[in-house]
Amino acid sequence: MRENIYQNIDQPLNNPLDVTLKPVSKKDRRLTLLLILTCTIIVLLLASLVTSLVRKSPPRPVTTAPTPIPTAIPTIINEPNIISTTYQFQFKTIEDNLKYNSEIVPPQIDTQLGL
Amino acid sequence: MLSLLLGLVMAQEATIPTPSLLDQYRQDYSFQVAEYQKKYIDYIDKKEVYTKYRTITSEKDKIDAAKAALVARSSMLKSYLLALRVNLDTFKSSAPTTVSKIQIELSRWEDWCQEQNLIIGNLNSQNDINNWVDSFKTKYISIQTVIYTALTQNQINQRLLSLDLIKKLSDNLKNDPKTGDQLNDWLNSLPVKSDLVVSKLKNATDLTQTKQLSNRFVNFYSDAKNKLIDADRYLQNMLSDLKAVAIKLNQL
Repeated sequence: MRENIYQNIDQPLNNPLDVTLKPVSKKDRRLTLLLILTCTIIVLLLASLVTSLVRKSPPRPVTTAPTPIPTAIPTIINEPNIISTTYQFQFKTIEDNLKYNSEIVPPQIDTQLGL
Repeated sequence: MLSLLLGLVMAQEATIPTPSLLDQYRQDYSFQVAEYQKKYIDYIDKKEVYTKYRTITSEKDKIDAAKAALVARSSMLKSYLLALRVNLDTFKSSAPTTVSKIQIELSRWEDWCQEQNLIIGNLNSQNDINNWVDSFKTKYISIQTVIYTALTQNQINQRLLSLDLIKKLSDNLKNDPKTGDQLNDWLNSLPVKSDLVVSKLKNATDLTQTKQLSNRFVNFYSDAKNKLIDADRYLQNMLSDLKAVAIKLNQL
């Protein structure tokens, strides 16, 4: 028997195992491509759906208390009740005197008037 | 009981009076300000017309409007000086001699303003008006000096009165039978602050003596106001100390 130096399985004629390879048709390729595309679209749709659902969900309630508005601590010193009635009137007189605005604003005049 | 009576008497003496007369003069001054503004706007309009057309009629209109505005300005100044003079009475007791001196000066300028209204009526040409305006500018430096001196002095007097009231209250607290050594120590620190108040008021008084230039008024009022604000700070501080003492006394 003559020995074959090279035996190529891709060549069915030389293959002793009788391998018959079906050629891949163009139709099958398109179908595969379509399938991949459909899967991608479905995956993308699902991802967008999940994202929109997450966005639409109501905000979580704030558990931390809001920053309180600063308010002046009432100074005990201004409480009239803690000053004896003997001196309350005198204090009020002095305070009124200090607050009184005795200024009469002078007029602003144009010294060039008439020229 | 005695301190209560003292307090009431002191308060009656020092209470700011209901200034009905002063209110009247203030109202009159406000009215005069409005009148002056009206006449001033009219003068500006007439001046613009004259600048545009340069006619004899427009010049006459301008001179008439200028005279009317100058009269209104003199009246306004007079009413202001009068209100200021009467306002000085409010705290006159703190420095009667100085106040009387300023009031005489103010009264002199009131008469001067009154006289000017007659003089302005007799101005017949633009040249007459120019001469009058030049003389007014010089006089107005002296008027401003007395105005700002009066304003400063009145506020100094107000603070002197407050200081006096604080001292009286401090004496009352010292004489209170409940006041112990500890509170007395606190009260003894008041003279230092009192001296600081007097010093600031003295500075303000000195500023009223600022030498004036012949052609321009050197305004000292803002500096004087700063000194008065400093004095206010010490007065408020003294009052807070006294309040703390009064509170302590009430707790004993």
